[in-house]
This record gives sequence, C-alpha cells and structure tokens, in this order.
Amino acid sequence: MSFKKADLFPCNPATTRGESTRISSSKDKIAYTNGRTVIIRDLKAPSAVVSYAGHVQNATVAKISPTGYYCASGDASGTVKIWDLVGEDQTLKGEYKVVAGRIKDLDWDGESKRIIAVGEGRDKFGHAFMFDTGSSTGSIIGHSKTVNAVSIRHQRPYRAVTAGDDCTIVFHQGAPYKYEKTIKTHSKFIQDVRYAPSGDHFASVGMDMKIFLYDGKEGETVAEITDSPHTGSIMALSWSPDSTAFVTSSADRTVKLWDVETRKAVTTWNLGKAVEQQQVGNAWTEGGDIVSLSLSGDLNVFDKRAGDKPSRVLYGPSKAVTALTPTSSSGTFIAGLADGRVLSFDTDYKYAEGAGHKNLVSGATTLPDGKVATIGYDDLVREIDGVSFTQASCPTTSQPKSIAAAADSTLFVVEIGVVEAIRSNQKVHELKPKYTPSVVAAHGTTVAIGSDEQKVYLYEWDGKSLTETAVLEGNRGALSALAFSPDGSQLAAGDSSGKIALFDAKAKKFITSRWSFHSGRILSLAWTPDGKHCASGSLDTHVYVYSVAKPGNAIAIKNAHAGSVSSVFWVNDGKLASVGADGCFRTWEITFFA
Amino acid sequence: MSSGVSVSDDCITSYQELMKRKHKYVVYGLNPTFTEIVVLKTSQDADYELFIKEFPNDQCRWAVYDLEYEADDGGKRNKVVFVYWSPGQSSIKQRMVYSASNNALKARLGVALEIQGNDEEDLEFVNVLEKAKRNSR
Amino acid sequence: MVNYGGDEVSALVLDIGTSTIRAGYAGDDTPKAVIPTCYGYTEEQGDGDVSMEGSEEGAQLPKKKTTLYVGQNGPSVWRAGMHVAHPVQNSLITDFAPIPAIVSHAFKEVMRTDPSEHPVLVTEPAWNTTENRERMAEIMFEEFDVPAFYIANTGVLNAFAAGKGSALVIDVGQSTASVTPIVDGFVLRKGLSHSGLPQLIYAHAKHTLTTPQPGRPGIQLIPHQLIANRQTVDATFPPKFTLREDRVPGVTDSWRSWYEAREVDEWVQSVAGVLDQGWNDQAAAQRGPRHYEFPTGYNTYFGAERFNVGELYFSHTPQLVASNPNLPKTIPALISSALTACDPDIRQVLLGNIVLTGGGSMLSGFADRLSAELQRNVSHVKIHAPGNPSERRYGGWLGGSILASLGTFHQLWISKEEWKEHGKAIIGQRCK
Repeated sequence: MSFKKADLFPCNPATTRGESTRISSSKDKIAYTNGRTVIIRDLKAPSAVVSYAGHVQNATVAKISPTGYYCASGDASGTVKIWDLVGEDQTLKGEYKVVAGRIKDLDWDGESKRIIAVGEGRDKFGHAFMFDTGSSTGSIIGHSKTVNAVSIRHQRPYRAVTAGDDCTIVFHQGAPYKYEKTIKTHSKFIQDVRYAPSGDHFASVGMDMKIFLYDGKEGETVAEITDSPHTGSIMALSWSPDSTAFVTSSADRTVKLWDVETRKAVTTWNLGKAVEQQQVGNAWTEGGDIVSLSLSGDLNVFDKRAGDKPSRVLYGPSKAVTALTPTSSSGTFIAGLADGRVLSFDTDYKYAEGAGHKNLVSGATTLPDGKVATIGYDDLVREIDGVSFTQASCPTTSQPKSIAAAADSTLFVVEIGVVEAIRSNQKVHELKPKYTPSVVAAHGTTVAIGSDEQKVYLYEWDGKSLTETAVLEGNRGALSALAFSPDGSQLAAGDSSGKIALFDAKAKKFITSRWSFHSGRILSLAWTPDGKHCASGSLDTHVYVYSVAKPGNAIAIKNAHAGSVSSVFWVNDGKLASVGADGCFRTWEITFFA
Repeated sequence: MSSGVSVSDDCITSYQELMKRKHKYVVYGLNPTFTEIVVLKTSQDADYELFIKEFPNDQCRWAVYDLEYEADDGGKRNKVVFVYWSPGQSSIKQRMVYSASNNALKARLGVALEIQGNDEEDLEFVNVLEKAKRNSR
Repeated sequence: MVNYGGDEVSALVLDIGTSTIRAGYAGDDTPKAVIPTCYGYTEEQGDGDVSMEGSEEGAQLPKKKTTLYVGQNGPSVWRAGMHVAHPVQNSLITDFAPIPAIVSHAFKEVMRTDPSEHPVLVTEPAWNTTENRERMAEIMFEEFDVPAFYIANTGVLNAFAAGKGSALVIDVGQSTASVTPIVDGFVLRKGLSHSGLPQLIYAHAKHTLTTPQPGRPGIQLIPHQLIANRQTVDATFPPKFTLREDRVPGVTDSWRSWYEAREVDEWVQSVAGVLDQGWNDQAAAQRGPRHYEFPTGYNTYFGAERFNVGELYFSHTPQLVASNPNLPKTIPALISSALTACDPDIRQVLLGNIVLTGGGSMLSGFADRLSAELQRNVSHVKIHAPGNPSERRYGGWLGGSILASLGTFHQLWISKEEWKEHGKAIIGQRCK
C-alpha cells in the first residue's frame, strides 16, 4: 500500500485582537502563518498551495525572497528559518536565532542576500544578517521597545526603516546597516511601515489612526495624510505594484485605498459593524489583488475598481478544526472550529449561516436525511440543513463530548457521566451508566459507547431505550474514537494510548489489536466504503491506513498535520481526506495492495 | 512602565561616535521641561576623576563611558559602561522620572552593562572596574 | 483620542492595599483620601433592592437586602448586626463586588471629584493576576466611565521612586510582607516571594496581650465604641469602666475580630520593636519598657515582650516551627527565596539596591536589624529606607502620582476608545 499527497486546502491566517497580522506577497502569491504552519497560496491558482511546518514554536511571519527561490519565516522563539521554496523537500538553507522574543516582522533586501528581522527583546530589537551565513551586516539600534515592522529600500542608496511600540521610526543607512536618525511623527504604537516598490517613498501607520508619507531616500516627512481619516487603529499598509497608491486596513472595520499624488482616499471599503470585521492585515499582489484580513480570519479580496464590496472572500479555518462530518461521498463536509464557528466545504469554504455555537464545537454527525447535528461546549445540540443552522436547539445536561446518529435519526450524545438520546429536538431517553462514557458510534439500531475504563459497551436501541447486549474488551486506554464499518459488521475502537481494537460487531467478539502504530490518542476513525480498510488520525500528528485482511500492513502518513489530526474520512475508495489542529484540509491518494 | 519622554537623535549619534573613539564619555540628562533626553556634554578627557565630577549630588544624570583597563591576563580591554546616577539628595520627582526614562535611553543605545549609582561610592573606579570585569562575556 | 490641550486635566491615582485604599490627585505629595479597605455590611431578609450608605452607588449583591458601610464611617461606627468583610487579601482583590462602592466613596465623597472627567492610574501588586487587572480596567471604563486608564506595578513604582531601575523591593504591609526583585524596570516573576508574616506578628501580639502574663492578667481588647465611661487608673491596676450594654448584643463575630485586630495593630505600631542585632535577653531588658494605655483605661509598661513580637519578622524559634507547619516565611527567608531564583550576577546588584517600603517596615529597629542580618552573609548591602513616613507608607501611590502628572505620560494612557476597539487585550500590551 502507498500514498501520494493530493490536495491541500489551507487554513486562513491566525489573528489576535489588538495586534497586526503579517501577510506578505510575491507575484500572485500571499504568505502567512497559523500556529506552527507557514502557508503560501497563489490567488490566481488555488490549487497551488505550499505549507511549511518546520518551526518548533508558532510561526509569526513569512516572506518570499525577491528572486522567489527562498522563503524566510520567523517564529515566537526569535528564530528565523530560510528554506527552499522551489524544491519539494523545502531544504533548510539557514536557521538563526536573532532576537530574544517573538519575531514580529522581517524583510529581504533587493538582492535577496540580506535579511533584517525585528521583534521583542530586552536591549536588542532587531538584527541584520546575511541570509546564507547568518553573519551580521550592521546593527539595528535606536529602539527602546518591541519593533513591529521593518522595510528595506530595494534601490540605491540602500536604506531600511523600523518602527514599533516606542512610537518612533528609526531610519537606517544600509548596508551594513547603521543608525541614521529617529522619526517622531506618531503618538502611539506604530503597526506598519513600508517602502513603495519604487523606493521613492515609504509610509507608516499606527494606533494613533494616522498615516504619514516620507521621502524614501533621506527619510524626510513629506506629509501627514489627513483626508478622510480612519476612526480606529490602522494595523497594516501595502503599496500598489506601480507605487502610485497604497491600501490601509484598520480596526475601524474599513479598508481604504489612497492615491499618493493627491494624498486622498480614493475608495473606502466597509466590512461591517462587528468586532470580528476589524481589519488586521493586508497585502497587494503584483497581479493586482488587494487582500485584507478580518479578525475573524476571512481574507477579503478587492479589485481596486470595484468600490462597494470585496470581489471575493476566502473563508477557511483560522482556528483548530475540532469536529467534522462528511456530508456526501464526494468530499463535502461540515467542520466545527475551536471558537464555535462552523464551516461548510464544497469546492471551497463558506460559513454555515445563522447563529451557531458560542463555544468550541466538540462533535458533528450526519443524519440519515442529510442534515447535520452538531454539539458544542455551549452545552447545546444544534442542527444544520444544507449550509444554514435551523432553529432547532436542544440543551444538554452537561458538556457534550461525542455524538452519533442511529438509523431512526435519534441522536446519542455523550456528556459527563450520562448519555442522552435526543430526537426531534427533545430528550427521549437517558442512560446513566456505571462506567464513565467517553465516545459513541451508531449503526442501524446498534449503539456502541466507549468508556474511560477501556471497555466498549454495545446496546440495541428500540426507539425508546437502550439495552446492553455486550461488553467488548481489547483496548489499553480510555476510548476516544469509535467507527462501525459501512455494513455494520465490524467496529473499530481507538483509545488514548494509540491502540485500535477491531471487533466483530455482529458476533460481538474481539478480532485483533494489531492496529497499533499510533503513539498518541486516536481522534478519528474512518472505514473505506468497501469495509476492507480503516483510516485513523491521532494526536501524534500521523495518519495510518489499516487493512482488515492484513492487520500488520499499514500505510503511514507521518506528520500529516501539525498539532494533531482531528478528523479523517474517505472521499471515495481511493482518496482519503484529513483535517487537523493546523486548520488545513488535505487529501491523499491511496493505492491498496491487491 | 515608562515615562514617555523622547530621546534626541544626538544621544544616539554621540554614542556611535564614542564607539568610534571620538569621545571618552558622554553625559545625558533630561531637558528642563522633562520631555526629552538630551546630550549635556561630550568629552575626550581620560581623567576618571573629572568624569565623576560630572555628577551633581542633587541631580540625576546618565552617562556612557569608554572604560579602558588591563585584563587579568594582561592586554588592554575596552568596555562601554552605561551609568545611571540618582543621588539620595535629588528630589523624588527627579528620581521617579529619570528611573522611568532609563530604559528609553539604555535600550536605544543598546549598552548591556549598567552601573546604578546612588552615592559616590558606587562610582569609585575600583567598583566600576569590578563590575566591568565580572560582566565580560 | 484623549487630548488635554493646554489645560492639564489632573489624573487620579488609586492605590488599593489590604488595609487601606489611597486615592488622590496626580502631582500631589500625598493621597487626599486614605480610607479603610474593609467595609461593614448589614443584611436583612427581604427582596431585591440594595441601598448604599455613604455613597450614591448601588452595589449589586443578591437576594437579601444588604447595606454597605464604607470609608471612615464604615466599620468603625458600631451598628447592630454589622459584619465586616475584607475584599482584599494578600494585596489581591478577592471580591470585586464591593470595590466600585468603596472606590466611588473615595473619589466622590472624600475627594469630591468625578472620575469620569479624569484619567485614572491604578496600582497593582507584583503578583496580580491578568484577570484582576482586566477586571479593574473593566470597572474603571464601564462603571466609572473614565476617559483613560493605566495600571502600574507597585514594586516598580517604589523602585523608581528610590531612583533605581534595578532593586530588591521589600514591602511590609498589614497583611503581607513581600520581596520583589526588579531588573531594568521589570519584575522578575520567578523571584517574587511573599508571605503572610505580618499576620503572624499580629496573632502573636494578640496572644501576648490577651493571655495572662507574669505580672498582669489577660487584657481585654474592648474598643472605645463599646465603652460607656471609664475612670483613670494607675499603671498596672485593673481597669474601671462600664460597657455599652445596649451595644454588646449587636456585636457580630466579624466586627469583634475587626476591632480586636485594630487594637492589636495600634499597640504594635506604638510599642513593639525589633532588636537591631538579634535576640539577646540582656539587650531586650536594657532597651527599657514602653507605656501604653488601652481604651478600657488599663495601662501598663511593656518590656522585653514588645521585642518578642518584632523578632518574629526575622527569626522563628524551633518550637514555633515545630508547632506550625505552615508558618509564613521570615524576612530573611523571603529574601533568600527571591535571590535563589535570580541569576547569580543579578544577586549582588539587588542586595546593593534594597528598597524598604510599607507601613509595617516602620517598626522601631526594623531597618537596622535588616541591615545587620544581611551583612552577616553578604559584604555589600545597601538599604534605601525613606525616613519620611509618607514616602515609606505611600511609596507606590507617590510614584504613581509623579508618573501620572508627567506631560509625556499622556500618550501612554489607554483611552476609552482604545478599550472599546481592542478590548481586554490592550491592557497587557500597553501596561508593561
């Protein structure tokens, strides 16, 4: 058996309230980070996505070199990694620890030879070095607090500007980089400073809601842009490829397009009224796409000629996917996130409409009629029809952990110490077992409940109550995942130790526990439609595909998702899909042995 | 927390000049309105006794000094020392504002070694030298 | 955006301690309002409504009709069935419910100022939690509608006021003694050490006073509020007084604890001391007795025993240690803990820059004894202990007052608009 990487539908950028999120661009690509993953996606070719998970701590910024051969990415530990963007292996070219705390920004010089990285530190807030050797090229001094942004002039005379929480911009001569002067235009934290591609100007924006324009060569302040001011902190600024305009993204939930010559706002795009629509980052690709990031994680793409709304919005998980259920056999699914939001995926992501969950979505299951039932840490069972939430809402007695649907559309919800059966939005039965229930699965009229005490209990559901029919033993840890094969004859049971026990569900007997390659809690199990293979996703970040006939042979897809693999499911007999804590959705082409 | 005072560009350029051996020491202080840190004096004089006299006993000051000494294994060493002087006789207001502005100056210059001076004893050459040697990394 | 233009609108500075709350105008030398943190309250079975005495604010306390009594006419006024509660313990606010009422009393009644017109700087202990910090910001912005807010660390304020960027701040308060290492204006969290040592001193003092000793009976700690009249008696003679019998039945347990604590505290402050070289029976005897009179009229001289009390700050006898497994750490032990957690090169700097603050540190002989204890093990020890009682007690408030009155500080306030825009996250970002 073997596998081949197929598609990657990336997560969206991670956002933090009150902070700027860095998005960089190169040709038609944008680069951003989420958790430990760096994502580079092509806005004109959605299937061309690159993900890099080499950072040990959360990645914070990524920028592609002007030549396009390398990507430099920084993380929360103060380390910059430079890796090969062209080859499949993403070979590491260099790794350097440059500041004591988080890297907030970095920039390449015009020759793709030097990098300046800036961020948090004690008495050093930035470092200028050669990308291939790490040896320093000058010193970045003049700041007394965290530096948020850096931009290098690509033309001679070489210059660099850095700006940060000490409300000043330091203008450096380059290279080797040397302090030249301090620019004191802003009165609050400066969030971004950027050179125009032509090098003629650079501009700065900050929490004082002001925009300043400066001469690129000598750093003289040319003007404060006062026309149509923002009414909230400005978090990011990006120049047009021809340097005649720039866009600003603000916490006032608008994106403004500015003309450099007239110094006026040409267009103001209004994204909404909620806090979630505060704009926290932006980029302007060489291909002409203006992208602005909402606090919610949505990437809004604007065309500068259309002034009323985004030409399209790229939705996607910006937090971990904590629950998922396929809604068809062609790869569509409903995914619930750690912050309560729910996305539906068809060819791309969309948010489920209507008020959903207010807290982490802990489970989702598809009902026989195609509707989806979801549970969340707001202690509610909700229902989705198509892509919208219905009014149906049933409160649970305590925090729900797992949900499954029987053939008669009864939902079984595992909570703390109790399992509730809910149908048509009402509780119809309650089971208070002597064991601690942890996970549930259902097939036809058979319900399997896994326990913390390492046993699986089988029940028959007659529409009114559950009758215990068997106790299955074979696991070595608290049960964490259960799945019946499509015909109901087999039951795979995964536990917190990484072991999966296979049971004959009809004969109620243990078959084998050789499916134990995982080293961490099993989070998801999925059978192929023909019932011959079962895939598993685990906290250990790996995916395995096991065979019923040959239990010792398994396909290992190592490190499929940074953090953990939260869900696996089959798109068809040969394509496996997986989703993880990294918010990414990947598919794999599996070739089985005969 | 900081005081919010700004630092004049001169402060950083004079420090860069000291690093290039153009000065032996630079003395800094707050301007009369307590809004900015400015250069009060630069000097080429290598006499340490004269340097100590730059610190009045009732007012706070900062300084950077290019300390030259003989290492234990022979050979001359140079180490730049950042001095924060706040004498007991200065007013509590001075002490508070200077202390809260300390990092604004020190971090911008990027000097690692700081001497906190509250009385003359702290500025005695032997004590300063001892700290410099101990701090040699 | 907060803009004060030419006219300086004075900021307010609020320093919340375990026993008192200090409030005043930025730029002043001393806080205008020093009121007790604890408050009295009565409960009547009834529904809903809550009223406030001594304030216009309505406090939100559920179900029973609860009336709060805060400030100078709070716990110190006898009221039938009045309990006393302590919303701040070990310098941390543990019960936020009465805080708005107490703060309101300080600003509106005592200072006669409207907090919605002034930026407010609040101080916090070095071990304050993020939740407490954010809750305080929320109270200031949402309940008091302040235009701007900042929260500053008391330890750092004390260090700065002493003219130090790096210091070991030893703060001895009414309930907590703490040692905070500060390096370059930042608290070294791993070195934070604090203990309820002052409470041990209080308990010991109370025991000493109320139990019979050779030469005197147990002393009754009855406060003046319960004394109808009394006669002057000679030293050591039994007191002659009459109780306010009408008031005795209305005395609650918590009010009794409160007034006894006050009497003990008064006694400790007036009479107790610390031997400056370590315990020595002769030295103690040589120091001579001090006279003290209680509200009952009972008065006597206190000799060596007054030093026993203070000694507990610095050393604990083996018997004491054996009898009490949870004994709070002594000052030298706290200092030791703090320093062990710091890098070796920092330790010397810290010991050479000790800042002593807090009302409890004003105990006679305390500073000298501290110096002697430390110099036994370390050569270079320097202690900055302001002689001015106001500076010693209110060092944190004073530092905040100076900072908040600076013109350049104005850009550092968190404005109401920024709070609305960024929410709680901004507190951690800006108040570092």
